[in-house]
Amino acid sequence: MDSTVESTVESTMGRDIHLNQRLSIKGELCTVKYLGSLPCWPDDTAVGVEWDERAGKNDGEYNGDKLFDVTRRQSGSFLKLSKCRVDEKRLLSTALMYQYGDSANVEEMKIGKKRVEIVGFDKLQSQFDVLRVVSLARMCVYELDSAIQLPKLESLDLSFNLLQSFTNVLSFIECLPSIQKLNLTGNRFDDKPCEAMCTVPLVSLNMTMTYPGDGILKSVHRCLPTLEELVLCDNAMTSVNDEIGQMPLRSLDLSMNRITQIPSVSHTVKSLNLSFNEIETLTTLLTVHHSLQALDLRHNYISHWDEIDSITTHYPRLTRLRINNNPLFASIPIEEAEFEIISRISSLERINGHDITEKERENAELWWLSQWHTSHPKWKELCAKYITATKPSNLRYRQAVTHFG
Amino acid sequence: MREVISVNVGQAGCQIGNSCWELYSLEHGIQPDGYLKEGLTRPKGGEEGFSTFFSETGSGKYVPRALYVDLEPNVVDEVRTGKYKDLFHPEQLITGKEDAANNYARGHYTVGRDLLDDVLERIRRMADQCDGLQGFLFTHSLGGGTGSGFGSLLLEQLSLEYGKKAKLEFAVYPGPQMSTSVVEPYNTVLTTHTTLEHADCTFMVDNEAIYDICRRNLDISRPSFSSLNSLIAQVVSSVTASLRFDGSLNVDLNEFQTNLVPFPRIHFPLVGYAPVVSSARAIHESNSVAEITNACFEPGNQMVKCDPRAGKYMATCLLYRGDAVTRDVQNAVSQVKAKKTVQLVDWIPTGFKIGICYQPPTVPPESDFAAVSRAVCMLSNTTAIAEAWRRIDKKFDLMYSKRAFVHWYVGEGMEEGEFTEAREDLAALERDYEEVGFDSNDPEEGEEY
Repeated sequence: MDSTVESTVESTMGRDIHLNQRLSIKGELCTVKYLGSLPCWPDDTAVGVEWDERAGKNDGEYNGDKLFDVTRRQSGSFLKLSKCRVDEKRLLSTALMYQYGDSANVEEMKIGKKRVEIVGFDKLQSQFDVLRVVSLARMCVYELDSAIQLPKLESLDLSFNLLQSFTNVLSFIECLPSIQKLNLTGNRFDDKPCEAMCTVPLVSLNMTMTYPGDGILKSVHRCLPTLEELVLCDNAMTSVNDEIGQMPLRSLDLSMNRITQIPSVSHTVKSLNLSFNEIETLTTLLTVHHSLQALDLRHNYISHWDEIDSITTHYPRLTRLRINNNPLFASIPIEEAEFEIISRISSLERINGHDITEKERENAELWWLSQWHTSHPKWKELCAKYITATKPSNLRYRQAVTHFG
Repeated sequence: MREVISVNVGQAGCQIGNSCWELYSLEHGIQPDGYLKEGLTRPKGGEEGFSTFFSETGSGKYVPRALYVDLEPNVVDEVRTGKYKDLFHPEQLITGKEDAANNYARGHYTVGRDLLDDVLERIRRMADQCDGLQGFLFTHSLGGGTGSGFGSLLLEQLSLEYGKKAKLEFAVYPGPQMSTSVVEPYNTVLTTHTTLEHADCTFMVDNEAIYDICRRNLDISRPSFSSLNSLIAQVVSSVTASLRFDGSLNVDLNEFQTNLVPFPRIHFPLVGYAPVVSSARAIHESNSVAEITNACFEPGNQMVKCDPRAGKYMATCLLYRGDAVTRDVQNAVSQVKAKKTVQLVDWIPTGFKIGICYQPPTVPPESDFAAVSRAVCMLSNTTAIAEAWRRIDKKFDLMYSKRAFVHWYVGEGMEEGEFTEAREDLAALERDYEEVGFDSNDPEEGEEY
């Protein structure tokens, strides 16, 4: 098939579209993957896009020819350039003015015959110097400019915009002296790694669905030394590279990726979220991590009790564990599974989101003893615990003692 | 000065109180020992609003205007020895020696009576410290013995002594998952009957609804009371946020009534709250103003199990917290309107109020909630909530038809007549709800007959 790929074309709306550009079309975000002609549209340029979230028509194929690659099945579409209704992209300052600028004249709203009264919203409007929280989600922001000063801003939400330059983000936050939290969910960065060290006290960064390349992750590692919380959820990652592993974070969220092995992370990490991954085994981990307190392993492929035992070895200080929805628990009632886990991991204080009371722990451990796991290393320890305990009326305790003694 | 005194009665009341005061302290920047967090020169949220819930001592320590009452010491002992033991003055924690054993009659007549004078005296002392007391905020369960029996006794007495002051309640409606006794329907019906004319506005939280939200939205396999309570605390905090922070809607307790209660007996607003999301989920849901507004009108995000689509709304307040701008709110409301499931009765001219508190919701450290930049709490007086009364009445009737368990109550000096009287009152309440749902004018009038 004869198709000439052009790098930039002028759309009828007067805006140019180029390859790899991020677009918002009727509120749906997509990436331009192909520009050229298709035999079915001889008079028009075809724009091949890959949608971020909505379903498309194909996998980037036309009549069996692969014209572009997609990462998600059925997420590609071809659009006629002349019919392509691209949402207007904005500068950050424009979006800020639109959202927080002088209050839009409040038109009267009615439900049925009743007036809706809106009270007290004016305070937020057009006082940029007092704003602490700003959310500009889905506002088609493509570039961050510092035309408006935001000296008090602590939390900025820029999720689902058209940002493509991480360097731009880093140089922008330099102008925000109080910034602590930044949410970049759903933007796709494709520029070169950045060197400049950030001097602002950014603590928390959310990079969900940004599919960061190694270069971007390198920039995160190098330029944001104050970071304590990093979210890398849903990024199709299969492993964690060393840069991220070494970052002195407090909390790391790697949920909804395709990670198969428990990654080794910095010893400062207290909370690690690995839910919705493909982890089968924990035994591959060689080091002992002394400070990890919270671990989330929901929706993984853990299918053997030995893995649970190895949690104690690797994370001796673990107090909070979430582990429901693993194949291991498919066939047994959740209560029983939790009793089993509580008995095997003595450091736990919270399981699957609820507290383990002293009573519950005793109950679980006595039940576990009654299951005669005599060869388990924990068995002796627990027997010893309940022999010294003064609860002679407990039937299960007696069973345990008779057997042990 | 517009002080509010919180009274937590019974096990559920005290435990919810704990969760709430922990959250309030966090929100205002108060440490567990009652002093300000380092780096703060004054509590967060404005002096005016803050002093409604906390009083300041000479040494710069802040003390909650709260009272814990239980007929047995166990639960309050946890406060006395717990993390927040220094926050409260020992005089604020009152316990008896003998519990109510899930029996309304013990809480209301026998065991409870002995503690009443003591409690009233403490309340009087606290009220004396206030410059302009607005009213009381009660937290108790409807199903337990102390919460139902002693709670209603205390409300009766307060309405005698402080007749003009507003009395708002947060009442835990019993649910089957978290049931502690079979006589919960009895206690619920009896206490509702007693407090119906004394409480000005009652926000109900249904254990079953909360339990479902915890399981569904927070992915907690077996929600415990502490999971439920931390969710309830978020909701209570949202409702009281307008009293504690400088806002502009419902700034005092009376205003809640004015906005929400068209008739004295119809004072059970339905509470909806969104978003309730765990950390992993929050990232995926963008939680825009429109999304959370829509969500709080969904039955799945409401604190009482009932279907508001089957009823009519008499009045609705939407209280936003955090970052919400007029434009987004307008869009959100027009979306709600377009759904057509929100039907308002025709005999109230207004009925839809929206307010904001700029302080975003706070999550306690290590909690299951995701930190979000905004949330919305819906308070609406809808006829659909009558479903909750119908449900409990049915359970009551099942047992009462055989006079099951009634001897426990008679043994404590109650008369059987009180059961019938209470049940009749609840039947009347159900009818009241039916009646307000009717439209005032009949369009088919005069055509034919």
